[in-house]
Amino acid sequence: MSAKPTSKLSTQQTDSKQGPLLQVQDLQVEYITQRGRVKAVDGVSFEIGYHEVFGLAGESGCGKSTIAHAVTRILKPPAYITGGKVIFEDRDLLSLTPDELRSFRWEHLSIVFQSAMDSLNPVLTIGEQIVDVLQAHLIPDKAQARQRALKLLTWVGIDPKRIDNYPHQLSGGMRQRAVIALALALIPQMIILDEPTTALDVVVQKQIIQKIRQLQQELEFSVLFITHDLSLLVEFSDRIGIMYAGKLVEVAPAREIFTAPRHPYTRKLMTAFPTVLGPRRELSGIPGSPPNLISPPTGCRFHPRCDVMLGRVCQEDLPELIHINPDHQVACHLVEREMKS
Amino acid sequence: MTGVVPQKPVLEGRDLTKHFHVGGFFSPTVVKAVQGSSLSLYPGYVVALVGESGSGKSTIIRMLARLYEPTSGEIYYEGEPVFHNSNHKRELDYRRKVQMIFQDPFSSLNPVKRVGYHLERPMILHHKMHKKEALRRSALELLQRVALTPPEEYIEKYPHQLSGGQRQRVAIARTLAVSPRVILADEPISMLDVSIRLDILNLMEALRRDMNIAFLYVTHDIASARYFADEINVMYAGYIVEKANSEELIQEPKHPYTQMLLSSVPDPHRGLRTGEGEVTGEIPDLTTLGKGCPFAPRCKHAMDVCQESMPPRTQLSETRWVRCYLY
Repeated sequence: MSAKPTSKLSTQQTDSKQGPLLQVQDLQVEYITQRGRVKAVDGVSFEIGYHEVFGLAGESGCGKSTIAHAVTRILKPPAYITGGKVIFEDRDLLSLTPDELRSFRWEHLSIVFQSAMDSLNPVLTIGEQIVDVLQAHLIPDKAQARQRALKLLTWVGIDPKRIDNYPHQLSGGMRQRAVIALALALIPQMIILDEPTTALDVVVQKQIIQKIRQLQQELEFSVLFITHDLSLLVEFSDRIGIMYAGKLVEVAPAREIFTAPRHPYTRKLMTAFPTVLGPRRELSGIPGSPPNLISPPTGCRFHPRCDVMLGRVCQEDLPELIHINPDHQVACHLVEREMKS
Repeated sequence: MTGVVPQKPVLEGRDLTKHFHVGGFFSPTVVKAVQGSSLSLYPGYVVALVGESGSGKSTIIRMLARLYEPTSGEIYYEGEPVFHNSNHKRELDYRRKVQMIFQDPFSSLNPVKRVGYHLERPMILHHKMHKKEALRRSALELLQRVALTPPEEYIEKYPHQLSGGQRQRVAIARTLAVSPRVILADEPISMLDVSIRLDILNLMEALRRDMNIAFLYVTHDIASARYFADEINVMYAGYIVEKANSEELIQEPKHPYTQMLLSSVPDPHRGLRTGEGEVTGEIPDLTTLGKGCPFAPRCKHAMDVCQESMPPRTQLSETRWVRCYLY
């Protein structure tokens, strides 16, 4: 990287801190629709440490994006947070006032969406958009803000000469980099990346992911990375949470998710995509499809698709997330039974 | 996944080129979407066309489906050239034998028609079947064939009552309704959930095997091409730059672009966060392509000759060739 980020503009110190940066506790989010209440996120708890990359994976409709929206408080009706807590350092995010939220969002926590490259204002240059954020929060002086914007563009790998370009003059990959520069503008403590590269090609995806990882190590922010692409997640994350139908079913270090997944859903998922490096072998998907959350299955929500279902216990009792070792949690009756015996 | 090279192609594109004229009267611009690309499809054989967005893979599939007229080049069906504006009967015949599956199963089915309609309509048009019982019986068989069971239940459903994977199965059943020889599949799994993608690929694999259908599988996901296809063609900026048997290409990519593509694919086997092989540059603007190899600006092996002209095909073995001056 040509310009090392030396001066920290943010006020927070990034000395090694103890404990988690973000705690999500028993979060409940419901969509209230005419056809009924949909529990999109149903009692999800996890923590993200300082400088940690936490990945959240699952199929469409499993609630992973809803969590990102709930944590940043950008949920819109008909979605409502109906329970739980979101603690960021010592702040309770769910009780922040709109004014507090406004500064909190860019300075401590920012978010990049899948279609973020289309969220740039088409009639402003990317420089103007970055300067605008900086001026509103931290650097009232326009010339200084512009200097800072140039540096941000260098960080994300955009030629600073492009600062006066309009979004339409940039390729999709460059627009996505510009959005990442915006998200980094105030060096927040955490960035949420919600499928940040899904609309991009693999080569560009690789460039951007490498860049984010490099910046993450230099600027020491935490990342909540959300994607359906497990291969990408295993490569990029420190820890991974697997979601199914609004529930977290397994949390473990990335390596363990790949080498020793325990939940039957995770195990199936890890063999449900072909790879370029592993052996070429017969693979199969998971029969059935993810449930409708208006009337989710009773008991374990995965039981109708599970091939190691135990019987009544799986059909009737919802399994709790239990620790099988200090870093690895699984919500499965079978795993629980194996632990006991 | 047969690994055998069959003899006689059923569908062939020779030297296909497609230029789109865009821009206004005062700034006419030509987008060179596909340049001199050739491709042969064989019964019971799966050919994959892999490339990034804008590489021209969808343009090729659309030329073969006769949705675009090639700027130059010819399409041959069973050795016979397929002419533009040939008579209606031949045109209809071609469209029956060469069917297409689209990427988005949410927009390729008519939302106000039941599943049964989608399957019976092509049989009425192409097979001149009109007897209600016969149509229904065939439709039920098709649903059984694509594993939408019980078929009696699915035949009455509307598309919005089906999941993405189920809709894609209906789309596949619809192509089968007219007994095609060739299926052109344009990113058929990229909009589906991870857990059901494999089953759609496995279904197409069964059709290849049991019905001897020739497949062209267009995708940006080279790992799925490795899984499903016998042969992979890699496209870059309008050119097919490398062709080889799938496993050969994956194990030993020759073209520098193929090498870069393979090193960019996320793969859990790679181990965590190995920052190997920094990838650089982006796909060139297809309106301002020079005369040289379009990959040269990003290529670490680029030589003077690469700026001068597009390398010709170098035949490396009976089944593989590459367009690169390194070989």
